[in-house]
Amino acid sequence: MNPKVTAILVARAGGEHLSQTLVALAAQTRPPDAVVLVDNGSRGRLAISAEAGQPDKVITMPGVVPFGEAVEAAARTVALEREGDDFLWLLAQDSAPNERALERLLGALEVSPSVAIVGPKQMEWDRPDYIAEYGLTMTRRGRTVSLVTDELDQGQHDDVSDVMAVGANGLLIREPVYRLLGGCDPGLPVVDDALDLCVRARLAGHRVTVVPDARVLTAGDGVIGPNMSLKLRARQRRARLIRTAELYRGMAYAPAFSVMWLWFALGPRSVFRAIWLLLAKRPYEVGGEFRAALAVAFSQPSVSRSRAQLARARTTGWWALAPLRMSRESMRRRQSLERENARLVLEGARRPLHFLSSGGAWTTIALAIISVVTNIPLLGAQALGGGALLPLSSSLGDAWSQTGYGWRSLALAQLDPADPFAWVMALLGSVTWWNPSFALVLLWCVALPLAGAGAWVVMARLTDRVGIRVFAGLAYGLAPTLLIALHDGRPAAVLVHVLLPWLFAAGLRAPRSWSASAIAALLFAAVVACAPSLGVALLIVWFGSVVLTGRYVGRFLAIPIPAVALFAPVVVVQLFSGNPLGMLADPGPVVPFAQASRWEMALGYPTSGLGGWFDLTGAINWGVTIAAGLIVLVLVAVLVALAVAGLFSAHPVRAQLALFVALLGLASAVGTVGLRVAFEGQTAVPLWPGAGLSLASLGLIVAAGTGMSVLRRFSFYPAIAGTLAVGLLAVPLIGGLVVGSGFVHASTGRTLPAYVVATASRDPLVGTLILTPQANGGVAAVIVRGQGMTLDQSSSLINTSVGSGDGQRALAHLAGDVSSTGGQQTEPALKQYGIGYILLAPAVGATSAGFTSDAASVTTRVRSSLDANPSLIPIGDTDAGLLWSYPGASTVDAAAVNPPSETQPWRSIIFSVQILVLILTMLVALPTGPPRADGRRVAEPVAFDDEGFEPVDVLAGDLDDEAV
Amino acid sequence: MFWRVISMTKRSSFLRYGLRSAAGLVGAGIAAAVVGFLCIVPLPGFTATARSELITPTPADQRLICPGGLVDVMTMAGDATSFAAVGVPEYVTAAQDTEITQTALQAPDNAMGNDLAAPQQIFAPAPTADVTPRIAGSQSQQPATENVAGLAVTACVEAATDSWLVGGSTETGRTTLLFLSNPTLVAANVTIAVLSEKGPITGPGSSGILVEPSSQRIISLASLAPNASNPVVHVTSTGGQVVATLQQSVVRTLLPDGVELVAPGAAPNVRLVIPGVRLSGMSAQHANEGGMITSDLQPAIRVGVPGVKDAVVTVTAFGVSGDPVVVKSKVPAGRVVELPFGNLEDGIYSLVVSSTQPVVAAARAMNDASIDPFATSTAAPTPLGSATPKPTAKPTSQPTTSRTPGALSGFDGRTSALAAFDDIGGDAPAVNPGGGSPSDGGAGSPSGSDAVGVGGDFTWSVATMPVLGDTLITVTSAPHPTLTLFNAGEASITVGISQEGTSLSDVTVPANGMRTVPLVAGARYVMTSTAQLYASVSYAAQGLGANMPLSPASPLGSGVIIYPR
Repeated sequence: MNPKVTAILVARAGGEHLSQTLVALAAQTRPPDAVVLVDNGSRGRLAISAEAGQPDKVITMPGVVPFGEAVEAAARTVALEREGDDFLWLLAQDSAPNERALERLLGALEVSPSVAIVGPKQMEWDRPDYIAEYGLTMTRRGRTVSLVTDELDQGQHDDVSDVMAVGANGLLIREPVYRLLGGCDPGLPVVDDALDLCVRARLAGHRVTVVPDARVLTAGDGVIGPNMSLKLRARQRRARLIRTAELYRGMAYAPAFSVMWLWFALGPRSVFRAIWLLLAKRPYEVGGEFRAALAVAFSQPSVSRSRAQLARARTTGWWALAPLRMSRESMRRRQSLERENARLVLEGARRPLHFLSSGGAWTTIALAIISVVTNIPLLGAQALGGGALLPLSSSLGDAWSQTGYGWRSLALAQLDPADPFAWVMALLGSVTWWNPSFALVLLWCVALPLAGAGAWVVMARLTDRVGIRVFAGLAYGLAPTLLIALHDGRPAAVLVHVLLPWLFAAGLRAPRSWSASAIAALLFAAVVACAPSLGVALLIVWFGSVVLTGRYVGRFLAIPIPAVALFAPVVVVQLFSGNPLGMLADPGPVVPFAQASRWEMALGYPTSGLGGWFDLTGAINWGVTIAAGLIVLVLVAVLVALAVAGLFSAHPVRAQLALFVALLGLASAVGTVGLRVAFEGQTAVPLWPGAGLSLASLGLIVAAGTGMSVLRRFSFYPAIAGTLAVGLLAVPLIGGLVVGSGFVHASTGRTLPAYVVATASRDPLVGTLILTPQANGGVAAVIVRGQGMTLDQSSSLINTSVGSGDGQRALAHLAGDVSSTGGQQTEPALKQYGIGYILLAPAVGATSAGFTSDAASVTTRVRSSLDANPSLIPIGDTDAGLLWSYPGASTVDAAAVNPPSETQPWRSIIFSVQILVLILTMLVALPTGPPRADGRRVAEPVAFDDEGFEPVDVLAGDLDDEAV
Repeated sequence: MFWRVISMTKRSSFLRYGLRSAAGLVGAGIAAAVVGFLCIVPLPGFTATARSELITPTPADQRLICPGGLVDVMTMAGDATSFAAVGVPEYVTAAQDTEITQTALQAPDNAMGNDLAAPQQIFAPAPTADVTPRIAGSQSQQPATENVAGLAVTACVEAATDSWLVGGSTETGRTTLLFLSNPTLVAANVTIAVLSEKGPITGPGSSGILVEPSSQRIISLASLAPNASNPVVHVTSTGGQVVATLQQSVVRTLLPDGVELVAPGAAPNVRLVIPGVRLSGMSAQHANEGGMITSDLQPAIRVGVPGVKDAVVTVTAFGVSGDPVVVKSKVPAGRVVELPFGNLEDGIYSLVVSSTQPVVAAARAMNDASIDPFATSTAAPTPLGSATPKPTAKPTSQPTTSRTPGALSGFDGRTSALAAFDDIGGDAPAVNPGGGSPSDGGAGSPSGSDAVGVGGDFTWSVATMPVLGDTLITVTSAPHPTLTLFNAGEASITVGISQEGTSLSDVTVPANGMRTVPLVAGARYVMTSTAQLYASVSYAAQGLGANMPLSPASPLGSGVIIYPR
């Protein structure tokens, strides 16, 4: 018996791999009797290479077809020409066999007739002494497992012979068996084709073995199996194909009765697996998971064919395969080994921060003490008021129901999406679920230490010097913009300042970890929700990171996704209402402020007065402006000088980037303060510039820290100078907070008179019309329902809207009528809109110099009209203004104005999409799941380039000490 | 590392430091340039305009209140003080595009039961059409009893929650009564705050004064602020609104020396205008000019500062000709001070009071019984009336000659037309639509038949709010009615005056200037102005004087700008 071997070589492209393969083929000690070259989609361009190898036959496929199909085409021509006990040897363009490969394989088949398929040891093309694959098996659940991957071949696996399956590369199969099995399953075009073939061979009573002496190189060109490229797209495709094949085989191998159940389970299984993938920090595979499930769900005819084919050849039961499956224990052992390896790679890059031993704890404690002292006036507060502070909704359910989409407060009947800020407020309120408003008191208490700790962490990622880290923490924690935001009662600005360093800390780690990337994404969304105007600057920083990051770009690209999901409804509404600048408006109530001049902003102050220095020098009776300006200028100049010193260091890139961020922040502040898009009554109020200044101070502090590090061991001294400078700068502001000169005060947690709140607790829809006389003699009119305005109810869409719709006109007419004599006509409108109370708030600037006689006369007018209105009952003077009640209002009417049914379906759609994106991001952000090396080779650490310049990866780790 | 390798030679080290410094300098320069750019160069901004709606309210019922007849104090048995009317005033009303009805309010404090002596409500229902109707009214009375004698003319006004009354005195011989008329359907809870030369006066009974719906209460100011020579009364009400009026009468050494009804004036402001102050006998005043007002025989400007900061007050007197005369003084916070007029000739003046703090002000002019303001003046007004004054235009001081409201409210065209424009120093053409003899309107002497010895009179002119558009003017039969127009603006204003739809003539009031127009007693006019104008009608004769401010229609019915969200 002289068996004939036909080598079937499938190629898609000529070149190095193919010619090497052909050469190796020609050099076989036992050459194949025939070589069939399948030109799989190169459209004749293989001609030259093919000539060189002198194949016996060249089959040109019409296009790119799966490997199995190409083999089938070749095998069919073989079958036409030969009869008898032949062998088929499957090769691809990148499968160069060693000289004795065929001889050994053939030998293995000849000695044991029960063996139908043998496979060689597959070696890596670049590193021929490393095993790429050596036998395949399945877990109990049907997952394909390669027995050996990425191991140096020291003969350690040469004792293995019987395996469940072998890879297609270099696989030698008896031709009759191939015929019997019907070749590769077309339902498994890329992955698991050989595995499936081997499994069916085993079920038909044959054996499959590996041959240690036969070696075939493999380059992973993608002719056999998927492309093994490391690009994200290739990794995603590979994951999808593997999963598709897994699901497909699952249905093909399953007992007949369970196929239907498996089919129904496809959807739920993919959902659960998607969540698992997120927790496992492989978010890029989620899309493929669903595609795989869909593909399998719609390939049932193919599954049936496969099941029929399997049944036809099957002679033995699945029990025969059981011993060859990978046991649970060995699977667990393999996984733990993998994890160990991956951790080694990741941990190598992680720098422990030493929070306790490196000044972090002390910085935080110092700031906490200052925070306690500054909050003395707020001692015992259950809620805060003043400035832009309002209470939160009284119950957690109400706070969460403000998110998404719904009827908005202040306007008469206006349906709009909620600000992303509503999510921030709902989350913040959940911290103190028993009294959501108390969360703001808590925020006021922890703002200083939290911001300082954040800046400390950012600096700790960049330097080991304790002095510099402490300087950064203290300087950022005492930044004027934070103290002024606390002083003026700007919760959104405080949140921005607190979250910004954490965002940058997470961003610095994002290239290394999906978890950090997702945390950065959540913080990005939160910061932009609190200060949409800062979004422009942050997007520029983000874009710069994407450009500079290089290969980890995927983890940066995903950062804005939650912010986009939260902002999309608002952006769409603003664009359609022709008010695109409105989307930059600050969230929360619109509160005017004493706008700082440009030079004051350049010194870091969002409001005029140089953070109390004017008052202080005025009190000491110095030349007010000059002295205050000079003092602040000198103190800020210390930081600026340190920052500029960084530019002259040996590695100025970091200082340059930090200064760039600082200037970006300043530009953002200067730019936003020119935008007056939100209204308080008649007044268009500029955006709060503090958010931009927070970014500017963070950038300046990091730059100054870089400048200090120039002195290396002596950086302690400039750090002390810088800390002293920021400490002195903050003195008047801290003093102001301590004596309670700020606008913030402990509040009762209600914004409407107690009389209204009492009614609203029974009838949560009762409307209150609030009239505020304006400086020009006009009257601002808003409507709130229930217990009054809360921070989470406020909507920038309402605050910025300019067009007049039916609702606005109706509200204007109602307000105009109650402000004029002839009150009888107002009664139907009050009843229709369910307005139970009318509150005449103090006129704009009633307590300051801005009070005009026009405002006074219109106040008198409105008051007289309301007094004279026989359908109203005067209640009297309350803490919020003069109050009248309209006893004819009913809950039924109020409910009819803002029917909950009309918010659907948008409320559900927007809420579900946003909560889904947030939860998914949160799943990725959770520090869970096994660290994975992302299919990369793990073993060799990259050799350190001693001679070269520093790596351009400026976002990575500390550099200032390595140059010593 | 890198620099160890190449810092072998001094030159390369020098080069390295040079490059590093250059890069640093460039970086610092760029940073400085950007900061400078952001600080100096104006960046484009964007200011959105708040949505606003001008809401013209649905026209409502219109209701004017004339305070009713002058009263005398009747001391009854016991502690209670009661009052009785000394006669019935003459009421002149006018309406445009509507019909009015006149009814009397309850006057429980007024012992005389005559309805016409009670406050009169002039009512026009809310119109059905989209036309804003106007109504106007005034009342005039010239009693001559042993306690109350003189001429008192005042306008019928709308009720308000907040009124400032500048005038009165509670010194010996001076009687000042506060009329509170509540025309609304709900009770008014009134609080009275009095400022005086001694500061704010707080006394019992100044708050919680209840005025029942559709009725009037009379309160003696002396009970709230005894011995105040310069009171300023601030009346505020909650619930219903009231019309507050002061009646001041003076008796000097047993002789009545004038009576006056003081209408509410403009609210505290840093700029007030008092139009139509007719000064006479100034030459006698110059003799005892001391710079201080020592008695209420002297003409004076009463200025009160309701705030908590001292005010520096500048009073500028504009005549129809000649340069404005300025008086400047400091008024302490919370006090009322009377300022002298300075060296002014006899004539009609408009006063502009400007102040560093909001103030209230009014002017008191004296009408000496011995001085006939028209006797010596070369520019004595000679209205060329077309018709002889009707009997209705006669003085109505006799209590017996009361009229029915119906007869008064008609506008039957039988009253005399606007006769002529007295344009002292001005150039407005005289118009004589009818051509006829001068009418003195029966002015001159009080016609109380049982006249006791009669002294002079005094006149309070209050600060007014500017009028705009159409204003109805009702002239009573009191002597020598004169319209004073003052233009506080920077451009001259042409005012059209018509009578019964017949346009008479236009008067051009120069910027920051004043014009006077003599009117015919008992006539009704419509004045049309395209810009804001201060106006009043003054009456004068020998020993008689009165001033009636022309007020704009209530702001409560005017358009209001609403900023809805």
